[in-house]
Amino acid sequence: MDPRAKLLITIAYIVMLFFVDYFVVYAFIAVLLLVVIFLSKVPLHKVLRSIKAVLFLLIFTFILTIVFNQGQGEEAEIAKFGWYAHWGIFTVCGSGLLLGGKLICRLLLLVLGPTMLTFTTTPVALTDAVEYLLTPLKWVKVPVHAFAMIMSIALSLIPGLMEETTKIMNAQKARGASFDHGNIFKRAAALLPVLIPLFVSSFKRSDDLADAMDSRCYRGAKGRTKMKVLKFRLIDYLAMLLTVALFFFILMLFYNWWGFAWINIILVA
Amino acid sequence: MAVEIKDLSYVYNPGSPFETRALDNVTLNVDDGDFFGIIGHTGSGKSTLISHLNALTRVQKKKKLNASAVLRVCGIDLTAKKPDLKSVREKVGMVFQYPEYQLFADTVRQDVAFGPKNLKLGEEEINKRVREALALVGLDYAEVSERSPFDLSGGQKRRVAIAGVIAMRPELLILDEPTAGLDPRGKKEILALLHSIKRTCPTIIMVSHNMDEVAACCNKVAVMSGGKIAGVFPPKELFARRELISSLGLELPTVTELAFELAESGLDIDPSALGEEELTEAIAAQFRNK
Ligand SMILES: Nc1ncnc2c1ncn2[C@@H]1O[C@H](COP(=O)(O)OP(=O)(O)OP(=O)(O)O)[C@@H](O)[C@H]1O
Ligand SMILES: [Mg+2]
Repeated sequence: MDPRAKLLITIAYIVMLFFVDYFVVYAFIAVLLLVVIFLSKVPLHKVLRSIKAVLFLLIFTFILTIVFNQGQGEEAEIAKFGWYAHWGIFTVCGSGLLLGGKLICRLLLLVLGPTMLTFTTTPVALTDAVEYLLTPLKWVKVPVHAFAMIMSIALSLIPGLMEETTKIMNAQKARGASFDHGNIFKRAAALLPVLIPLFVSSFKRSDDLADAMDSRCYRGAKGRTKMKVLKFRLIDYLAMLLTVALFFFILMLFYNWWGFAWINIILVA
Repeated sequence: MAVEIKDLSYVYNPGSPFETRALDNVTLNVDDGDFFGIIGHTGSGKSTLISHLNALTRVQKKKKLNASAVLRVCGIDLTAKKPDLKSVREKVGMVFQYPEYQLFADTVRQDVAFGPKNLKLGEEEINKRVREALALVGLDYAEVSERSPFDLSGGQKRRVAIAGVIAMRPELLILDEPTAGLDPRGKKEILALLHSIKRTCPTIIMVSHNMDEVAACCNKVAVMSGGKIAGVFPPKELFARRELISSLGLELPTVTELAFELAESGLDIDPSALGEEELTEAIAAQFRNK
């Protein structure tokens, strides 16, 4: 697929999630996402691993919402769910649980969608897409090409930087430095002997890179052609159309256009 | 014995498609007082091996891997679950490839003092060691100590970095290609410096690609190939085995190469001659006899 289409769809997907208010719709989106994962042939466990990074955040938000949500119309609450616990300022009640559950669904889907984007798209393709989509800004004299270039260079330097960091950390460790002792201030101070050489070598590297680009006659965007021209294909149009339809459907539910709220009733029931 | 290694293996990225066996049942002994050389082509596992020696890389224990491995450095058993890392780092000094990239402090003096400071030494002792270390690497304390290490030349930076390691007074000094990227004169100076360091730090291990250096400095040389030790020889013996050297994709020292060529073209000399002087003497003797 075209990276531009993927990027647009992902953005729409993120916005969309903020308008969803029903578990059924979350489930529906989750199923769609599963289909996407299946079609992309990315191993499921790899995708799920990305959740691990935000697991703490998830649990934390869940507990907070549950504990601090007091619910409205308590009697109704008790009548509806028949369960209510109160403990100091902490309250566990049905509506809190509901809200917490929704938040979790939203966050999970929020993480998984863009994960799929990064798993299936190379950073270079992504910057290309960004550059293309930001083209309108060129008319107000924003150097879009330069931004895209900066982004792709930064992305390509990250692995080298990581390697450099381990190297320097090892060197300082060999000189008796320790990075996992003492309080937070001590640890921050211990990082200085790593950060300074890292900065020095990064500046040197960027100097070298600039020289290399100059000596290959890089002059910015003017008259620069692309080796891989981006092209929308049928599948891109189809996917975008589907996304628009889904978005429309969700907005419809949310704002109750044309009295379509009756669908809600079916969905909730 | 300074270093005792037995059946040590190491696998990068085990279980993934990028699995690489960097060390394969390595067995190696380095005696106290050795100037020990390690040679081998790129990717043969030299750096991985030496990073085991100060516990930057820990002995891998997985299933059968390293079940009977022995790794003992300066009397410390590094196969233990929690070896005393602090005393390992104190006893084993490690100079990495391009050590100048580890410089960070405002002044040369502070940078060299970083190691001793981490050893929690007293102010006076630290100052003493900094002076001593800078003198050992041939830098003038008065001239460089208050300068920024980033203003020095490449060769000077490298000396400061080496000083930073020997200021910790290690029992065992390990250098990974200490002369890489220097001009011939810089190389010579670093080698001369190693000889003077040898007096304070008795055991040195040096990884090198340069056979001339190995021939000139080391009393024992281990040859690595594909994560294995292909053999440990005194340099003279090693460079007499021309086939072994070339089969491993390595080169002979220039002097030895020349001696071999001369011997092949009919001169009656021992081709394993190592020093320039040795060779000239042998050639001269030939002509004297005629
Ligand atoms: N961080 C790493 N991750 C994965 N594989 C690695 C890593 N470091 C080294 N290797 C692999 O392990 C093997 C041994 O590498 P090592 O760095 O020990 O070689 P070397 O003999 O020091 O080479 P050189 O002479 O180029 O410094 C190589 O095949 C290398 O590709
Ligand atoms: Mg190496």
